[in-house]
Amino acid sequence: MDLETLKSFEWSVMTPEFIILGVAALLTLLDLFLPKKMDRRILGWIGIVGILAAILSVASLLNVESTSILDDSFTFDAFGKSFKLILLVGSALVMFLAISYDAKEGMEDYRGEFYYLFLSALLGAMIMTSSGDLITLFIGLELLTVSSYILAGIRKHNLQSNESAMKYVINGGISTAITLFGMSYVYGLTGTTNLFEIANKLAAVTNGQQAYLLGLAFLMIFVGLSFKLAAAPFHMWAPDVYQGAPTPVTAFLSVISKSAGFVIVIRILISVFYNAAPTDNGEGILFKMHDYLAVIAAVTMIIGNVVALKQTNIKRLFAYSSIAHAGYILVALTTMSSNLLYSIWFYLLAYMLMNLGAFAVIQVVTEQAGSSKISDFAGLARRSPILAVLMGILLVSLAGFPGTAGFIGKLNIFVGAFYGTPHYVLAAIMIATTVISYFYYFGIMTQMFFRPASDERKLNIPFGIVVVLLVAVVGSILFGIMPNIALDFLNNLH
Amino acid sequence: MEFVHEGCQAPCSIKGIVIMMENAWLIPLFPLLSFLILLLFGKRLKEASAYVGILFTLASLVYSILVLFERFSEPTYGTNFEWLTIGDLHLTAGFEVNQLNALMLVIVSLVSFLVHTYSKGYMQGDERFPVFYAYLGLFTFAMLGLVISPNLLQTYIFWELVGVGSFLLIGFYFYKEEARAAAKKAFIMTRIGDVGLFIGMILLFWQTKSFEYKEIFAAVDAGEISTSMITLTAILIFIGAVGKSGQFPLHTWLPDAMEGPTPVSALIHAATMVAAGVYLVASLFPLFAASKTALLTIAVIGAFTAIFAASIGLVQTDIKRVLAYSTVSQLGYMMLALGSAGYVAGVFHLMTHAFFKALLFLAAGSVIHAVHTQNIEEMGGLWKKLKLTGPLFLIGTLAISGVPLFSGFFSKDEILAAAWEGGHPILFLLALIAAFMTAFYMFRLFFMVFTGEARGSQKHVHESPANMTYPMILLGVLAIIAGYVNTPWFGTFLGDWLVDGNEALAQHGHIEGPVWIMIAATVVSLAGIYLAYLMYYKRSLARNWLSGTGDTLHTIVLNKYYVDEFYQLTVLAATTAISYFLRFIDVFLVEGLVKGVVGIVQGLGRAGSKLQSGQVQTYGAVAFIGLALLVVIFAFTGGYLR
Amino acid sequence: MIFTGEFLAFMGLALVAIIGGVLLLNLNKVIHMVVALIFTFVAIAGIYVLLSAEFVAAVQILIYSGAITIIMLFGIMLTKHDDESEAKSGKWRKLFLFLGILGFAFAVYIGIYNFNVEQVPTKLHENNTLQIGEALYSKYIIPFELTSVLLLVALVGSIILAKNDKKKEADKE
Repeated sequence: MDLETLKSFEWSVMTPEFIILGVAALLTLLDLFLPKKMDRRILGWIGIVGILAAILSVASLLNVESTSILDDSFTFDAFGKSFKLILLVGSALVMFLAISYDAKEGMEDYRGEFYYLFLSALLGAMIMTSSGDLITLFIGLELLTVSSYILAGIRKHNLQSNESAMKYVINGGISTAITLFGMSYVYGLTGTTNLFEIANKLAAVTNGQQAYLLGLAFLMIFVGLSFKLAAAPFHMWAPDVYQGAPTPVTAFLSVISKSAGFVIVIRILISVFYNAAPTDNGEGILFKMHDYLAVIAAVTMIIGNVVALKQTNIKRLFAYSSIAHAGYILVALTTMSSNLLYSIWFYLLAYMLMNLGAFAVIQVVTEQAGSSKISDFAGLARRSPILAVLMGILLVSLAGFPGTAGFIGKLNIFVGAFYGTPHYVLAAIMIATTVISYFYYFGIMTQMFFRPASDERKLNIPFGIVVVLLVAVVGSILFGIMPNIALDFLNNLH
Repeated sequence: MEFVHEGCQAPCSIKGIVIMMENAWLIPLFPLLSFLILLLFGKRLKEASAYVGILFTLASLVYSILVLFERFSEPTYGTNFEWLTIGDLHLTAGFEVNQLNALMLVIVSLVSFLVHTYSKGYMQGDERFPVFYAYLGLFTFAMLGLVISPNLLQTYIFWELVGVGSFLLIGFYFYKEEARAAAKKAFIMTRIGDVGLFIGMILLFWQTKSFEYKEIFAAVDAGEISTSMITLTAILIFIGAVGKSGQFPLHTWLPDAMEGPTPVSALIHAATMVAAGVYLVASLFPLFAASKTALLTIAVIGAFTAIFAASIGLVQTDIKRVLAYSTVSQLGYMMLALGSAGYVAGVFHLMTHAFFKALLFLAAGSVIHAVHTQNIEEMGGLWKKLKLTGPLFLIGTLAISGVPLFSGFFSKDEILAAAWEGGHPILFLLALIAAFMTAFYMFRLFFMVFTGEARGSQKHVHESPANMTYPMILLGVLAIIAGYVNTPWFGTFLGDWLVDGNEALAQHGHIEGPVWIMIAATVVSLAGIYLAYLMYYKRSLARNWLSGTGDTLHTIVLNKYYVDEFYQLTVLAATTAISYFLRFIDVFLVEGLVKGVVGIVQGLGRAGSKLQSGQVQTYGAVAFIGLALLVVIFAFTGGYLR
Repeated sequence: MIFTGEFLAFMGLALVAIIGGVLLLNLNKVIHMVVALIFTFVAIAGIYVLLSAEFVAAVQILIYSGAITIIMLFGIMLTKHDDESEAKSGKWRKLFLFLGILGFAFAVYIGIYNFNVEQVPTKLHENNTLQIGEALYSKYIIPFELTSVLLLVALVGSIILAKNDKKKEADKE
């Protein structure tokens, strides 16, 4: 391969990645050379501008046909475009949260790092959306993960933050080991890391022993990646880490990191295992592993929703709620209906909006209260009626109430569960656990509207929070009432 | 026709009156506007909020009436647009004006308008006055939206929204622990029903590939769905109606919901929301009619609920709770009617009940407003003090008891006829007994509240202000005359119109029962009234009267007293025993079941939290053991060497 | 199964690697742990040699057994490490974990114990450093560059977390 071949690739499709990388590098340098006294928030604003520029460049590339660079190690396809947009918009919102974040202790000297580590994590996630190569996917995953480790522990003088980072690193290490072990089997069976070549080779596998090994590899990869999704059996880190990490980081982990996790799961599972080692009637390994996915989805939904009932800390509660949402999305993955991609994409979009909005409110309330107990929300309707109403809308959306994006998302998945062979049990569990979720979401509502405030101070809402709330609430309602906007967008992608 | 302009855009007057139905979607929009305005400016408007709410609901009412009149001459109008696409499935949204929902629009907007007016007096001085009106607007919007939905999905969306409105309004006095608990309970209990509705809806969708009522009925007609599937989906959907309409065993939330402000009880828990379940069954009637099992289930549950709730009503001492149980019982009646294939009977009773039950609740509110207690033991002798409320309450009581010439008489008669003709003699008997009980406890209530001596402290008892009494007067008139739209004597206008142009429904039109049913119903209700008269009116009279008169009459009086005693010993003892028994079932079985489920869920939650010890090694161990478990199961089952 | 020299060498190296790992977890003194770790690293390097990946083997020795171990030793020397408390864990967890390991090993073992790998002719032994280099700088340039970002992030992270905040210290004294 010479320079000419390198030049012949259409590198312009990587512009969004280059922008993020460039801005991250710029922020690193600025942080180094700017005077110590200067407020580092300016770096956050530059970061936001960078992300917006990346969003624009993705938008301008929307009509570009699917392109791949260097043996598919970067592929720019409809899948990548659509999910990349979710990640970018979500990260922009997280940056707004980060700018408004004003922790009590431990963040003084590290604001600059705080911002550009978000960018590097975002870069990792973006790479995961558009790569057709196991190695590149894995590096993207690690870039995201390592950045997240540091972000979780960035309040180094806060004991909880330290604990959170420590637990995250250890569990992350285990998950990486398991994932890699599984991937190594796939490589061993095919001798290539290119997903499309792997798929082709595996489609020809008829040997039972190879199929068995593929099944093992499937389970290992999935369990390893379930760490990123915070799905069973790799969900237990989530509450502790979410609780200890700074709120914007928690928001990042629960939305961006989870979305990226689903992206890589879809990429690998669908492209590698969909047609692998087909049986006589043409069903690949994925169909055989169907029941395992169903069990994992069911357990995830049950654990997330049921344990959430017992929580007294708002961030822990949202950790379990995010586990539960991962379970719902896994239902879509399990049912493998023809609208799989759309329903997951839409759910992630809705989830991004409502969860980030909720975290914006959580950030304001917990910062003022200095703790993150659910009872800190008592009387919010009196202290700041607008905040309480917006939070109410977001909670209603999270609970999956009609008229909100959360409902449409659940409806898509639910309808999908009856595609082809109907999954009655899974659908019933989904409905039952959704009902359980009403209890804890409405528990917060009761606190906000029906309890007297222990602290009568008015809340001041920083600008960044206003932006996030506005986008989140408007989006949640808009996509709840006119979901076809999102669908048309997705259908028009190449 | 001044108000037409409020609901009508410029071309309206040019094109003529046909445009009314085309723009029927405006009807729910008025209360929504009211809600939004009050949400944004409520704080500044203060008590003037009431006028905003009243004006907008009046607009809805006038428009609904115009639509209803137009519907008399024009065929059903409906329109749809594509709303959501899932895979290759296209879901639509839109609205439809058919006979049933044109009628419902008027009922809902009328009761809502009257409650809006009434509340201005009732809620006077409450510091969250604008919020109350905003919630009322939201609820009315949702209820009207529910009524004009042309498909199941849209119905479901508004169905949930109605639940939210009810939740907010029951919990309006959130500083009261009971109100909070009741709001939560109502929400959760109806949700349990909604799960059934949702699953039934999706199953139906997968059978017919559509949520549209029309297409569902067409598929049912064409025999595209197997009978067992129809039965399953119909019963699942009925479970939703059970939750919303407070049918056994999901009825327990309705009496508790009386913790909300009384006008709310009149609007939501008497006339509109609880009737939504009945409405749902009615609007899906062709589906239910296709399955005998489903119909029978509905009839049995309806009849059982009717007698069950009525018997509990016998021993209640809270004025609103008596009315709540009577609501549950009357809703059971409507279900019985629908289950006996008496489509018209069910809808007819739905309408008359909306009027007289709203009247009773508003009158009860007026009483509570006057004496500041809800315990009927502490009332008495109010007839003279509440010169308007008393007679109006009496009208409502007569109507619900099914005394001839009042509206309830005709609709109840139609239901009894439907049950008899439908071939359910046992259910007919149950309904008849329930009618007896209803007459008895309603008059017990009336006599205890309005006659006899004043009990408890009643110092400043005064009649309610005009904006509370006018709505009651209007409802009182309706409670008398509403029955005449469908009588065996002056023609069955309503019944004929409701099934007009719809073959599926035409078989279930007005039912002409034998004359003895009407006589039996009359006798039963008069007997109930007489018994109540003897026990709660006569006895107190006799006591005074005895002291002043001679011995000659003494024995007669004594004999009458024996009658009392006799009744007390036999009939009442039996009914009391039964009612306590049913109450026992209610408390221990139904609530126990609910508690059991809650307990299991909470136990699981506790176990889950316990495993979450904070030890990071455990987390890793759980993940690895999970993986190992999956892998081992795979090794044993997963087709090694296939 | 034929007992070739390669097979015996593999078994020996693999055993050393695993025993090193197990000892690392069970020893109490930090220095002993590091030594156990070196055994594992070296044994793995040996396995690389068996697989004809000489370059990777050399790098493994240089970086892991060399650089990383040395840094660890420095770290141990410069910090207090008299904490010898044994990790307490429930009996049940140990039991389940043991069963889990057994089950996992069993499931994997029945998959591979007489697995017939297709023999593919390769040119692994020729110039394998050159091959790696060419692949890295052409086909795998994107992941390679990303790795540099990853390392940078790790570097920044370790500085943030390990840096001694002078201001804080000064405040305290």
